[in-house]
Amino acid sequence: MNTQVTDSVLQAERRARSYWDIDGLPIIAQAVAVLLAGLWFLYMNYSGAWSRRTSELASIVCVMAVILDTLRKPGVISWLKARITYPRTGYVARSEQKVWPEGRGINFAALGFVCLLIGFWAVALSVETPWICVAAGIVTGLALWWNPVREKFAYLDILGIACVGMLAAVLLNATHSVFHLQRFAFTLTALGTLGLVKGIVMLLRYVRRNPVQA
Amino acid sequence: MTPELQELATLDRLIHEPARLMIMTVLYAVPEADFIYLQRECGLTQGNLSSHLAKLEEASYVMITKTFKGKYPLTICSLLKRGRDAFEEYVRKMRVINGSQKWEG
Repeated sequence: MNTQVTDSVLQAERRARSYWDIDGLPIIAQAVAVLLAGLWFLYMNYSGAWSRRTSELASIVCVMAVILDTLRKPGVISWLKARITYPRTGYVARSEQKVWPEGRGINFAALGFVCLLIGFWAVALSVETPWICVAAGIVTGLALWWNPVREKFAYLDILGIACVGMLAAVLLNATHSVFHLQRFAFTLTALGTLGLVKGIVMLLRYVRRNPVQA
Repeated sequence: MTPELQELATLDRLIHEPARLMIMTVLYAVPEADFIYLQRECGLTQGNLSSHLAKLEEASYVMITKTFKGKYPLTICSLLKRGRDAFEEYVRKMRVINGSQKWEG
């Protein structure tokens, strides 16, 4: 194809792909899922509901599975978009064809998943200074704040990035063989709260800048 | 007359008009888009976009369907196979012309 027109088509495709995140609703949905997981772990930790290591691990796996499932299904987000986004800036279907090479996306997802598993292991073995995880969550959240989600980042990648931050913080003191879920809970809570604030700010800006079309 | 000039003469005039070329480019890149999205992307007025879409629909390049997402009414536009082929052909011809310009320059 002619280079200029090809560029215009690619640009239109990229704009359509990034249009999904324009209103902050997907970020709010992700943040709520992460925040709920964090609060759930905090509740389990403080209420003394953790009795056996296997049940703790099973709970973590279940909660993470629910989060990933929530991120994958855009049903609730589509419902909200039909009421908030489409009357303001219109509707566009996302193309199935990916601008970012497929193989690379899979690599990012695999990296994220491996980091997730290592992160669980590191959290399970660490006991010192749980508040360092709040810092890890805040740093990760701020990094995500300043780097808007692009099509090359899958949701799993973001979880992976979060886990890398958490891992870096946790491994510094991971010398005691004591299961400690508190720091994981703090990390998720901090990350979810920051994501929620970012999503709400984006949504308010979007609504203010784009009044409903007459 | 050179072959490149002949190509220029056979360009699809329906697509060659700037506003319609913008519409076709956006619709080529996505499976479907609604009226408001096209209006914002192309920077056209409602009346202007309507008339251009009507011409493209008349030529069976674009399909326009009226539907609902929840309670919100949507006028969804998508490129038909004929329109997709015509756009690709248009771009191919432009490339030939562009190539000839580079050759002579």
